[in-house]
Amino acid sequence: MNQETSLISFLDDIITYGDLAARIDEVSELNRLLYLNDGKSFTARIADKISPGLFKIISSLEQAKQLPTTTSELEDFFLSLRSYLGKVPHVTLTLAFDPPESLVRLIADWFGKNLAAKTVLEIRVREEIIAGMIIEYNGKYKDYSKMGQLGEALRQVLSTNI
Amino acid sequence: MDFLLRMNYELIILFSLLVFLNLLVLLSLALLYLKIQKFQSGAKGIAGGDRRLKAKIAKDLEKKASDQLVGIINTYSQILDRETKKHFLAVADDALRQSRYLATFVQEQEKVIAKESQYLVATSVVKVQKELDEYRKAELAKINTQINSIISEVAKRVLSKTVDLSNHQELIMEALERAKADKLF
Repeated sequence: MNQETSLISFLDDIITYGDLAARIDEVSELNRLLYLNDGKSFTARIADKISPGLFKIISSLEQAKQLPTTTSELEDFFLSLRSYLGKVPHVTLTLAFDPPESLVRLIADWFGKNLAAKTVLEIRVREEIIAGMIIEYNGKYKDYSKMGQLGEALRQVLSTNI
Repeated sequence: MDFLLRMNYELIILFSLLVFLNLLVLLSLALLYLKIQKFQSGAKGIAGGDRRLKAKIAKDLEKKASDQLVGIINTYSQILDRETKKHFLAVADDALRQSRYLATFVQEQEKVIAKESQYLVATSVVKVQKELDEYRKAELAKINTQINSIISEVAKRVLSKTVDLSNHQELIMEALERAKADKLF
């Protein structure tokens, strides 16, 4: 397992942009904890200071001997991880309602199956779009909402009658 | 202005010519006087000469001097006439030339003014068209905003109550498939 594979594993449980931001904050905290001299091992030191999900990833990497051992190597590793997480692409989805977690997972699975790279979801809610979704990705914008369809239909009717 | 300067220049030349001719006349008279003096001094040398001969010589001399003077005056008069004519012809030519120049200048100015007027009218038309286009765009943008807010309000009041979670989910998954078909990703 090379370093890139190790870095990707830190995205396994990340679905939304909020999850990603929280993960980046935790990695910054890990860097700070590296230099806390309390006589404990690194994993013991961080156990109750980070989320269970992140702790599980770090523990499994340590067991697989994929985690650097010295403090300076760990510092470099976390710096690379922070930079990597900062570059993960995201897609902005505007929905008409606050989606339940099941629907968010369904959407995330769809992206996992259809996009080669890991992509996190930034979900926004605008009731006025009625239903459907507005998608923004990599500088592109598409309106697949019912408001967009109705607006387009109304504009067509008006343009032919005015 | 150029015409006046040229006239002044011509008058100066004419005045200089007159001064020169006057000097020429004075010089001729002085020479004549010297000639008479010489003759009189010669005549004095002839002691006991015949008075009648003297009188005849004097008369001849007087006539000769008078003829010479008349000749000089005639020449002077002719030169003056010629130069005056020449000068007035030059002035008349100049006036004609200036008049033609002015006529051409006025015509050109009329053309320039006409062109400028056309340009100003064209510019004004373009400006008005641009303002109308901007006004039209602004009004269309306002109508668009109004349409969106009407749709949004109607949707919130009527449609949102009729769309349940399974419909929403279906429409969202459909949107994802359409985005994929549209090569958004």
